[in-house]
Amino acid sequence: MRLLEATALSVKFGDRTILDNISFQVDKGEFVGLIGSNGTGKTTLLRTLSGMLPEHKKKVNFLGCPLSDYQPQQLAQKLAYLPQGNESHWSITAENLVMLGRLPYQKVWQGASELDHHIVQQVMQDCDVNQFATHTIDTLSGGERARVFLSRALAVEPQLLLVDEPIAGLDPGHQIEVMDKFQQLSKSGMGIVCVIHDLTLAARYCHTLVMLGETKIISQGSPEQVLSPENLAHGFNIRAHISEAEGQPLIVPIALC
Amino acid sequence: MKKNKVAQHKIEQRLFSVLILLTVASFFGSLLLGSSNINPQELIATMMGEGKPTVSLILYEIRLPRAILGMMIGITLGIGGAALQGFLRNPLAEPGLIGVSAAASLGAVITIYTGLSGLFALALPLGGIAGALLAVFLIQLLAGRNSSTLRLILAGVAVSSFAAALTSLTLNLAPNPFMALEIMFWLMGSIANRSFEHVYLSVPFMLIGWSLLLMQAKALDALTLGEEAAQSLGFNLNRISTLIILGIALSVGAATAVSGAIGFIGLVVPHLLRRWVGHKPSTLLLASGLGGACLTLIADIAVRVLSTGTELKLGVLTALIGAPFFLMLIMKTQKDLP
Repeated sequence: MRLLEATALSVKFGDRTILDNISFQVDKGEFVGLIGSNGTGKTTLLRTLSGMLPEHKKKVNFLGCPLSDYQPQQLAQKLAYLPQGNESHWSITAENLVMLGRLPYQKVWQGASELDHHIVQQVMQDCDVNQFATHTIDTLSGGERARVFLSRALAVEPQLLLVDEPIAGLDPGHQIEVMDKFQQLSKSGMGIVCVIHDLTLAARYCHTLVMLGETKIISQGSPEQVLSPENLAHGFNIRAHISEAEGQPLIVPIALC
Repeated sequence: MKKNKVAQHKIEQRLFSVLILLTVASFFGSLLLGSSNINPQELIATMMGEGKPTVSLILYEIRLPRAILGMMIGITLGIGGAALQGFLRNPLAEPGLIGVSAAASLGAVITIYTGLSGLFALALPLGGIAGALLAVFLIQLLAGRNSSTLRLILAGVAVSSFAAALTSLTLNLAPNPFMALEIMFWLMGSIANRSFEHVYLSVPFMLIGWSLLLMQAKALDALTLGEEAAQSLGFNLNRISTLIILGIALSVGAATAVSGAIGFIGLVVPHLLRRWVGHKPSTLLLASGLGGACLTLIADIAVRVLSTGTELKLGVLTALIGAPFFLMLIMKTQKDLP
C-alpha cells in the first residue's frame, strides 16, 4: 500500500533552487534511506514531505489525500518527524519529553489520558529507556538521549516516520541498536524515511535508497543499484571499496576521485 | 521509579497549595496593613456590614481595589513572563521585551501631557491600553507574517526603544516641572490610590489576555523540542506567536496602563519556580501567575509599611529587590552547572 507520494516536487528559497523536479514514494512497511552529500537538500525534502512548507503541501499525497487537505492535528497523529540534533530547550524528565508525542491526541484544556500514559510506558519499554523515566534529559548520554527522542516520535504512533540523521554522533553499538529498531518498526508496517550518512548501514538496513545530488535525484532503487561506483563518484565524489562481509554489503570510502 | 513519579506529582501539589495559601494571606495582609492598620476583627465586622464607617471607607474605597489590582497585575506579570520565556525558549525574556509595556507607558504619558487625564480619570489607563494595542499592530507589521522568534525580539526592541524615546520627548517638552514630575512619578509604577473604576477597566483585558496565554500551554510544551518538532506535532507557530503577542499586549498592556511599569516580577518569578514544576512550560504558567500575585502583593505591602515621608513607589521597590536577586539566581545556576 502506498503511504506517501510526491510528484515533480520543486522547492526554491528565494532565487536558490533547493529541490528540482523530485518524485518520491514510500510504501507501507518500507524503510527508505535518503543519502547524499551535505547541502543537497535532504533535510529540505524531509521537511517538505512532513508538510512543513505550506506552499508545497498540495504536491505531496499522504494516504491518498494531499497534505493540504489534513487538519494539522489530524496529520500530526499519522506522521511523525524527528529533527536532527535531539534538542530540548528545558531540562524536563525523559518521561515528560516522551509524553510530548501524545500532544496531537489532546485537546487544549485536556490533560494526558490513561491511554496516553499507557502508550508512553509502552514505547519507553520498547526503546529500553524506562529506567531513565524520571531522569532529566540533560543528564543522559548521547545514546540514551537518542533513544528517548525516538520514543517521543514513536509515542505519536505514526504510520510514517521521517527521521533526520538519527545515528549521527552515536557509537557503533548504539548505531546498530537504532537501526535494528527501525527495521523492527518497518516490519510491523511503519513507513520510514531516514537521512543517513553511513553507507554500509544504509545498504544493510534500508529497502530502498534515494541518492540526492545537487537539487536532483541521482539514483533511486535497491541499495546494490544505488551504491554503484559510478553513483558514488557522481554523488559524493569518492572512490569506495565495495564488497561483502558475513553475507552483508560493505562500503568503505577510500579516497576522493 | 513509580515512587519518583509520585514524588514529582506531590511536589507540584505542595507547590500549588503553598502558592495559593500565600496569595490569600498576602491579599488579606494587603487589606489589613497600611498607614492605619485594621485588625482582623474589624475586617470581619466590616465585611458583615457592622463596622465603623471610617474602616469601611478605607477598606472598600482604598484597600480593596488596591489589593485586587495588586493580585491581578501580579498574576498578569507572572503568566506573561512564563509564556514569553516558554515561547522564546529563553529564560531572560520578560513581558516588557516585546515593547508592550513601553508603548502602554507612552500612551498613558501622552494623556498626562495633553491634559486629558485631568479631564477624566480613566483617560490615563485608556491611553495606556491604546498604546499597547498600537504596539501589537506595529510588532506584527515589523515581524511579518512568518515571524521567527529573532524577528519578533528585534521588532520588540525597536518598538520598545521608539516608545521610550517618545516618552523622553514628552518629558522634554513638558511645559512645567510639575507635569514632568507627575509623568516621572507615574512611570515609576504604583498601585496606590486606585479605585474600582481602574479595576473594572483593566480586569476584562487581563482576563482575556490570560485565557489567550493559558490556551497556548500545550504549544509551549511542544516548543521544548524546537520549532520544527512542534510544527510536526500539529502546532501552527505563526498563529501561536500572534496569540501570545496579543495575550501579552492585552494583559500586560492593561496592567501597565493602570499601574505604570512594574519590573522584574515577570522575569524573576518564572525563574524562581521553574525547578519546582520540573521545568514544564505549561505548568509554569499557572504557578508563575500565583507567584507573581504573592510577590506583587507582598512588595506593595512593603511599600506601605516602609514608607516614611515620601511614598516609595512599587516599581522602584521591585526593581531594587529584583535586580540583585536576579544576580544571585544567575550565580547560583552557575554553581549548579557541572
